[in-house]
Amino acid sequence: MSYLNYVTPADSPAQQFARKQELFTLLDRIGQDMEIPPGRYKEAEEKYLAVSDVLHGCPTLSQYDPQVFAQGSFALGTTVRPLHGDEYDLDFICFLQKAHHLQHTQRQVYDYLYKRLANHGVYSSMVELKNRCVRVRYADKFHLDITPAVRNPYCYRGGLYVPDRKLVIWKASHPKGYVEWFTPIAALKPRLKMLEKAVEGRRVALGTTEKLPEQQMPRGILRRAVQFMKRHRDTYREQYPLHADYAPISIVITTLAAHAYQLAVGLGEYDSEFDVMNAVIDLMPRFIGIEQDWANKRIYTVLNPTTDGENFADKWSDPKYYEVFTAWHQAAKHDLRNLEMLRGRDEIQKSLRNSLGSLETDRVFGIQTQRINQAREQQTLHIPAAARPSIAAAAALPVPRNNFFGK
Amino acid sequence: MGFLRTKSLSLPHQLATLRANWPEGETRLTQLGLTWNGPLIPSMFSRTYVVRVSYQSPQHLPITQVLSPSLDELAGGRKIPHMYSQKKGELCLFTPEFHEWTGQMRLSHSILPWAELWLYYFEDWLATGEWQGGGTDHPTPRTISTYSAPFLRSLR
Repeated sequence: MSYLNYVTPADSPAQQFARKQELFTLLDRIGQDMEIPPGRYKEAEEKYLAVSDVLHGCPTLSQYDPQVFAQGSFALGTTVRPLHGDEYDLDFICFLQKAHHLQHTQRQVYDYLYKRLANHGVYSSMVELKNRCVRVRYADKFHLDITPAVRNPYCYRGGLYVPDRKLVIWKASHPKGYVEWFTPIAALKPRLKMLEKAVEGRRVALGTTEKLPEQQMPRGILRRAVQFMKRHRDTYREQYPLHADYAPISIVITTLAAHAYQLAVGLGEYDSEFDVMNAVIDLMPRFIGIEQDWANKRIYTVLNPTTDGENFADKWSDPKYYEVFTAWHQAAKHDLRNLEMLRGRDEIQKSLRNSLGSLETDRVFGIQTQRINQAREQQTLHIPAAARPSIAAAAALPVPRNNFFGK
Repeated sequence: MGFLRTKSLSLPHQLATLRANWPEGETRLTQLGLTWNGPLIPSMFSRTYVVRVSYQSPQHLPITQVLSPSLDELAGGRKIPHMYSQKKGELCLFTPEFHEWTGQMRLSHSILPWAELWLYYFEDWLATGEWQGGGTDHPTPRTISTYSAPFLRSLR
């Protein structure tokens, strides 16, 4: 029984590197699949321009010169399909350029917006009033959340005031500035070790993911990391219903991730994009501000870096929020890091299903298998030659036609 | 591949092509025939499967077994498709009736690529429960009416 003594050789550094690269390609693909599809993106753009026209045509609103623009994940490029259903959540600001926050109450600004849409023939059946926005629903495709805003005269960086209907206060915000802050950070390129040439050793044959073509709007590592965490948060909420209401909101994740990415890129050299993603998650909690107030109560802050006075973690005065953030963060960190340790394509698939949901995961894995099947049918499937320098004769092996026998 | 090549490949010839193309494994030729023992990794994320191909002579069909890990255990009691013997880990890589494998073919260019492909579909099956690799069913016994009349006559 000599085979029992057969020891599987440990992975060489080159193999570990190749695996990590492949993992990022996989996450990149899944991220692309979670995004709003290009066709629907276009549709959403058309719809929002149409809404914008309607608002301009309003006798009340037009006095204030409304300007409608995208904010949030739609503007940042970090959209994630909801876990259930197919209705993307797209956020817009309706900035009343000529309105002043002392001239109008929070209620009024809403009512202008809501009434205009509710009285309009096309939109009357689609409009809903939310706490901070007016929602226009396009069933099963997306909904546009339009938040009215006025200028914030105290912010020298061009920030806005957004009304909170329940609290009846103006909240500072700076959606455009935020996008302008996030975009250059996302464009930073980390230093990666040039190990590509070093990939050698045992052959690995089938089912490598095709890299995304660069011209297809390169999203970059930060956006993919944000998408991973947002979706991971969504599945986490389902797995821990008691935590669900306290899970971190997207803007908290996005802000912490962008800070962490900026730091991670400056810290040094990485083996692969996958390691950068891990570093981003690891470093995130550092950017949560923790202070103590006069009563020794902890105050958590995740500040909007582009305007004063907007704390994205304003709800965190309840310590439960911080606890759940920490628990979720541990889970996300573990689930990403652990992908590296798993052996077996099925194990990776199961793990990703668990942390990101099965729809996109199964689709991406299925496409891989379909590509192999196609190549088999066309008799173009090859197994790369063993990469051993001493063997010059070995060429890629074509796979002849076969039928697996039996049931 | 040559239809002109009518003679079966000798075991030493098989040995040579196996050693040249699958150097990560160990190829042995003994009185009992030819064996190749080695690791197969069907895809980047896959496990390392230790596989043995044994080939007694050109008159025999090659036998492919997965020695480790235990496929049976990985399947968790489910019946794995396309296996001769789940206990012994014997894979059904080709359909003998279609003459997909002949003694004129090189093991290195047929059996081993097929084994790797089989293992790829196996991992896919573990995750999805569906065998995406296609194949043929084991035949049911032929009914008597399907035999030719001269053949039946010869039995008398």
